[in-house]
Amino acid sequence: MPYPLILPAALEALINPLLKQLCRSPVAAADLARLQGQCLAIHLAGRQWSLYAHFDEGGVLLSRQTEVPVAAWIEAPLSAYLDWLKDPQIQRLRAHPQIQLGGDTQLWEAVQGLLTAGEGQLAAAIGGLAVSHPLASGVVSQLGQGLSWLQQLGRNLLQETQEYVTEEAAWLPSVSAWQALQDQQEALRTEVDRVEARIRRLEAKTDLGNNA
Amino acid sequence: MTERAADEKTTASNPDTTHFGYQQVPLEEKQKRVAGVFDSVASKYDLMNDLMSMGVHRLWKKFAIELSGVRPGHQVLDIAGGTGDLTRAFSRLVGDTGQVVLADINASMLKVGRDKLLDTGAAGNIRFVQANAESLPFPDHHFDLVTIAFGLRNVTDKDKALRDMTRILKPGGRLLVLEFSKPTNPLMSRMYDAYSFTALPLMGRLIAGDSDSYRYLAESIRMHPDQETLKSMMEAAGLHEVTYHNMTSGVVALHRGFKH
Repeated sequence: MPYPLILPAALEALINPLLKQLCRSPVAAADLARLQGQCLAIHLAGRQWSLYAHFDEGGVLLSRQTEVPVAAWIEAPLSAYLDWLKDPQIQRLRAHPQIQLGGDTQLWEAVQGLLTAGEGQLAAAIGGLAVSHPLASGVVSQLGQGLSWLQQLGRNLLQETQEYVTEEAAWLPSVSAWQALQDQQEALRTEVDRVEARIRRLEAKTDLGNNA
Repeated sequence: MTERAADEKTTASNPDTTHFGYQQVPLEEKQKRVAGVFDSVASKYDLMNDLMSMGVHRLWKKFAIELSGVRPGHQVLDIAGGTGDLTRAFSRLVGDTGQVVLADINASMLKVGRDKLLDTGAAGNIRFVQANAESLPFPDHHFDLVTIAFGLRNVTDKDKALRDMTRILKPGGRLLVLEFSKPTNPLMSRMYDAYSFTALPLMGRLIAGDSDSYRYLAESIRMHPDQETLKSMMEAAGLHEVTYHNMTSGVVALHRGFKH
């Protein structure tokens, strides 16, 4: 199951303003320039979740799928990514037993440069999404199950609502029943008018008889 | 009989008219009226999009970008590109070796889009063209990708426009149509109707000072072909492997077709 599109959109909204700010420093600007035009793939081990980062002078464009050739890729479990964000040194990537790197691995040095620029603001911001709360990393690791549960909950809720509406609707008169009722009411009114007219005629006759 | 079916019947019986929202107007009149709508809303277009969709239009467009398959060096045409959201993203993906053309029939929208893109530093690989989707001023087999986002429903002759978009695609190129469609869930459909016929015109009046244009928006969405009909129209225009993806319970659908 693909993860929600709102995740890369939210990450982009977080990263790009920071990158813009960081790139006032010539070192960070050089790192971003080195990544320009490149597509880096970040795969989550154990799940078929991938995030593709397209770099350009405007920052980074994140997507869940791409047909752009990938210049470098990384595959690791979430815990390894979180470890790396705490201390984003390229050596850690190369030595980490759970991390696999491929393609032009030199590009990760530029990523490291951006993550550590400005006293690691970017790494802290991204990592902060997951580790700022003691329970958050656990929550993130359970995200897949959580999303499935939410989808199931949504489906159940929708089904229950539909059933409720259908059942309640059965108690309401249908359009044809309503029209039939109106017809009967009209017929009844006509009958009442007729009876009233007859009573008036009989009363008139009775009055005439009495007068005679 | 549904409004759409009723409209089709009326149009079929009188081929010189078409719909403008729920109204029947002469064919030549629709383009002018649509132009009037967009002249009126151009300056507040982005703000209103964010408010009306509660920001979700950004995700719909992002999904379109994901399915676009755009690569460095590609030639991309963004028809009815308006304020240039898709153009900006495509210009980043095609790089210096590619080119994106932002086309819009409406000069006001094109101006807003051009100013916005230039202000954000997007330039170099973007061109701006004022063009009618029914007769695109480009050679055959020219683009790798043609997109039309929230624009097709305003086109007078949709079949003709789809044929012309197919014409300018390279073999192997793809057409993406992002457009409002028919909600797949009945409950959602009722909520959506209530929202679009009450909240949208009200927001239009309060923010853009124009409720009629936003009433037209709601009406034009209802008159637009549903998912399956649009798919058939794209196939009839000569596209292959046409598929669609519903988003937000079918409120919006992304159709994709390839030229062989």
